[in-house]
Amino acid sequence: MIFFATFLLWLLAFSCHARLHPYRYGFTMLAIREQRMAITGRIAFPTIALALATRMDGVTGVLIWFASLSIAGLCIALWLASRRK
Amino acid sequence: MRETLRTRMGWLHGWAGFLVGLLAVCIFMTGTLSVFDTEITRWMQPENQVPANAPLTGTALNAASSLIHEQQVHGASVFLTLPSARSPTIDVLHYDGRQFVGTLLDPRTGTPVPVRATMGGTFFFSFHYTLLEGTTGTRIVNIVGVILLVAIGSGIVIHIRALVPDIIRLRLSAARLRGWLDAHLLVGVLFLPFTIMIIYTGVLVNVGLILPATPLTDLFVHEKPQTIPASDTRAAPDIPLPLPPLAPLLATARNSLQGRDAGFILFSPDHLSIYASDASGPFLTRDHVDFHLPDGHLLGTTTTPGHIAHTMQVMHGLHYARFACLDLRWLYFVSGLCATAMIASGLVLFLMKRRSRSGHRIGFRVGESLTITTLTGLPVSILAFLWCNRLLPASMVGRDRMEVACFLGIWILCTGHASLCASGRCMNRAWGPQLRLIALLGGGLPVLDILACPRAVYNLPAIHAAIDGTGLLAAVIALSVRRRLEGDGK
Repeated sequence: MIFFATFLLWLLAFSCHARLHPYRYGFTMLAIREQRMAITGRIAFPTIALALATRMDGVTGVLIWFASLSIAGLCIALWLASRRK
Repeated sequence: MRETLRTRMGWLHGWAGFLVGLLAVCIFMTGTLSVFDTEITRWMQPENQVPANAPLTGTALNAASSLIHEQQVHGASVFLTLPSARSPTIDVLHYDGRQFVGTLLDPRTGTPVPVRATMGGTFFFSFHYTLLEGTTGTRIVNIVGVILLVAIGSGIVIHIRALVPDIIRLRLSAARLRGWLDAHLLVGVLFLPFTIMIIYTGVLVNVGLILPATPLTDLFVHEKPQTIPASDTRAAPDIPLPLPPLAPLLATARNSLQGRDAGFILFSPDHLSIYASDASGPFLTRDHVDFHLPDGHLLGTTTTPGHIAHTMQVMHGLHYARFACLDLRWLYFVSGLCATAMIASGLVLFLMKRRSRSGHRIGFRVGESLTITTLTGLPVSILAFLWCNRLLPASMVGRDRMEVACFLGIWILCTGHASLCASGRCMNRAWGPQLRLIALLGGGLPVLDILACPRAVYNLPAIHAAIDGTGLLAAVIALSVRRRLEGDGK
């Protein structure tokens, strides 16, 4: 359960990251206000995920946080690659 | 200056990564399988159908005590592992010089569970950290770990500028080399925390073998046999003392170990020691409670205090992941697979970059045949090892050795095949048959499992589905890689 929550939060964080690099990932440029929101999301979502994961159990939580980072990143990357194919 | 550093790091990353990468793929692949070593052993012993979390009874513990005493009378040095969530049987084991073997008892009744002799999942575990070469192998694995950390460090320096912006960049439609490089970077960067953690903790587990704590000068001093003062010698009884009932001792040990479950029991001539389970937390300790024999009164509790000891315990715990619940073990497994894929893609990239310039050289062809042997030959041998477990007669004498012989024999055949193709300069033809073999063996594993052991599949569906499913996954990956190779060839 914790994994799915942190996974979802990391997906959101990576989505913000992709929107902040429009030329790299093939998106349109964001307006200044939206850029600020994306920057906030990129920082806030992983922080919330970390707080959530460590609340469950220290060591296990940190391991789950890193694993969800990796797997969410992989999923987003595959989605972006298939979108641009 | 920065470009010079990057160029130098590129050279270091390429060569160090390729030379140790061949061994690292073997270490990572078998290490990934070792995450589920107990489950693989259960899959390989389909006769053991004791359900998980079967209650442990006093009758079963008394039966285990009798068996231990009987074996001690015959001079065997045995120990007892208690049931856990992953392994539900009571195991009375001894070391036969190669592995731990013995009798499995039903925790409810204490009756022996007749199982086939097999190396089980412990084979992958031993291969992972010894390469089947004992202490020398462990030293080699440790040195490989250190060089891998250097290769990772140099890789980070090369890629540092694009590390964050390109973290989720994958261009499948780009040129072949670019696509492989993107895949290598993507998996490498995303799984960097896991890869560094697992290599660093793995090196620390056996660091004493390559960096002994004793001063170097001591290494050149000849060891003298230790003389024990006559006053300290206590004659061990010739006939082993009978064991007291174990159930009350386990309850006392649980209290003394702050509520942690007991994992295993070691027996000495005049006392027994109950050790805390490795699954009780991320700190992998050897805390234990000693009881006097034969009356069973409490002698004391041994714990290892201190920050350094706790740091080492958590390093061991993180690497072995015995504390991890099922979900976390799956995350370790997926991360291990991706780390293996990262090293494998690095090996392929190294060869692709040099093919046009050095493809005709014998060194290149040896390197490529070794890469094929590692990337496709090893999965073929692992699958053959599992097939052997099902095809060899269950009552066959020495069948565990035969399984290992089959594993090594198939791997040697794969090496021979890759080398033959290399000598004929038709390297692309070497990948195809071996990938087809992975697809055949992996895809056929569920069918073989259902045909050979239908009752075990019915009684333990989760374990069989997971292992057979992994075989299927290997088949799907092999087929998709093969199709890609064929597409490139056209």
